[in-house]
Order: sequence, then C-alpha cells, then structure tokens
Amino acid sequence: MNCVDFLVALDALDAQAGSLSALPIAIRHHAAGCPDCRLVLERQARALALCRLSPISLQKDICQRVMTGVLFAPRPQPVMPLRNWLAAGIVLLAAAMVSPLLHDYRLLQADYGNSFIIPLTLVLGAAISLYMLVFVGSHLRDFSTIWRRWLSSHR
Amino acid sequence: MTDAAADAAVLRRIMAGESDAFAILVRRYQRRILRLGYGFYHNQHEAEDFVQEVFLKAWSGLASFRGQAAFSTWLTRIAYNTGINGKRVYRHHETLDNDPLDAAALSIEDAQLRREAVGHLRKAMLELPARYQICLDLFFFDGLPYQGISQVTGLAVNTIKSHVFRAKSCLRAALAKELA
Ligand SMILES: [Zn+2]
Repeated sequence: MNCVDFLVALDALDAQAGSLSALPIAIRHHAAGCPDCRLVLERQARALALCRLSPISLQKDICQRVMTGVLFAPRPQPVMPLRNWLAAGIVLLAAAMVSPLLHDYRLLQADYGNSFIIPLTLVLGAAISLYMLVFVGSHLRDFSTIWRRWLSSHR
Repeated sequence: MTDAAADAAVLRRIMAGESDAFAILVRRYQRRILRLGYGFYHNQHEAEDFVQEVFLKAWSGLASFRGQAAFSTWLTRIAYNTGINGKRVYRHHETLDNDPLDAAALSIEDAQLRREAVGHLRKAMLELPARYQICLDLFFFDGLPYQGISQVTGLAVNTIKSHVFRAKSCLRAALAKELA
C-alpha cells in the first residue's frame, strides 16, 4: 500500500472503524512505517471523534416527559412469529386429514358405524375456524399493510 | 456486550413486563432523535415534541420489532419516516455546530480542531441535496455505519459511501492544509 492508496482506504472507512485499534491491518501497517500518513490518520480520527461530542442543546434529558406519555399508552403485547402461526395451522390441518387413517378411527367406525363422523367433523371444523379467526384477527394490521403495498404497486 | 446486545437485553425486560426499562433506551438514543428533530423542525420546542412522538411510536410498535435490524436503526427509521411523512425536509442544523459542548473540557487545540472539522463538514453538507445531508449527519455526528444509514433512508449503500467519502476527503485535505 502506498500513500495514495492509504488515503483512499482511510476515507472509505466505515463509521465503526474510527478507533485506531479497530483499523484494518493494511492501514495500520502503512501508518506504522510512514510518519506523514500516521499524522494524517491520527488527526482525522481525532477530528471525527470530536465531531461526535454532543452540543449542550442535545444534552437535555426528555426521558421523564417521554415516560409520562408511555405510562398512558397501551403496553406492547408480545407477538407470536408468523412461522409459528403457519406451523400451528399446518399441524391442525394435517391432524384433520390424517385422522381417518388412524387405528382408533377404524375402531370407532366398527363400534358406531358412520354416526360419529358428523360430530368429529364439526369439532375439527370448529377448531380450524377458530384458528383462522384468531390468526386473521391478530394480523389485521399486517394484512392491511400488504394490501396497501399491493395497491400502490399496481396503481 | 455490544450496543445491539445491550438493547436486545433491555427489550426482553420490557416484553417481560418491565415497562420502566424503556427509559434506558430513551436515555440512550434521545440525543440522536433530538438531532434529527432539529434537522426537521429547526427549533427546540418542536424538536422535543418530535422526540416524544418518535419514542411513543416506537413504544406502541415494539411488539412488531422483529430484530432483523438493530434497535437503534429501527428507531432511527421511525424518526426518519415521522419527519418525512410530516412533509418535512431534513436540513443540517447549523446552530448545533456552534453551541458549546456539555461540560467536556477540551484542550484549546482540540476545541480548535473540532471547530475546524465541524465547519468543513457543514460546508460539505450544505452543498448537498437535503436527503444526502441526513446521511452525513448520521455518519459524522452519530457514528451510524453505512448499512444502518441505508436501512434508515432507503438509499443505496454505495451512494451513501460516495458522499461520505467525498466529505471525508475534503475534511482531510482541509485539515492537512492547516497543519502545513
Ligand atoms: Zn504514507
């Protein structure tokens, strides 16, 4: 790395790489052997660190005011990730589809004929409906966001 | 512990029912949001209202924060969208540059260096369109990385990089000239 490459690499550094110890090895290596570049590096790092100091108008603590508002707002409710919802739905659907193949189903069919099928179907149908209701109800905001996005992309 | 990990730990406490822990996040990020407030509104009163609005939005949307980005980036994006949706144009706020620093007793040399650096950055910034000014503000005054700025503003990382690169080169050249 020559001095020109060094300066280019220095200007391209990301914000987190500001501290001297976090610099890429090539930059540190060149700076160690080149007093002029080392001076530039140190001065720039110092200048950037000084820029991060907050002026007095930003030092105001507005936390109390914000927290007063927060106490009157509803608490954030933990949400179940979408993949858990989908997994639960798939399990429920699979259970409904697999149940006629089970040994117990055949035993019940042998004992009661086909008369138990209607109550069983009702129970499974109710479970799936309940699931759909809760799923849609708890994701109304997500659905409306998707819908608005779709509308704006097709306008 | 990194900042992101510390934020995640606080978020877990909040979601477990400890509402007061939100104050830790407010204290940690109020300066950044206030700086953005000054950029959008140019006066202290409205900038403070803006901070409250942004944190309340973050609070009510906390359950939808999925942790794909750092909390600080997510919060900054809420602030950015709040300003932009309020039909506000972000302009680098010059008076913040001239305000005295909080108790930080700088040496005469450091105070001089800061004045020069901020002055050069301000000059570089005011030559840019508003949407790029916020990028330089976030980079130089808040230490947000390129990726974070891109997530906040929706601008491409390379675009942000090139503006930061130019500002840094100008700054470096100016500082070198003064040194000579
Ligand atoms: Zn060199």
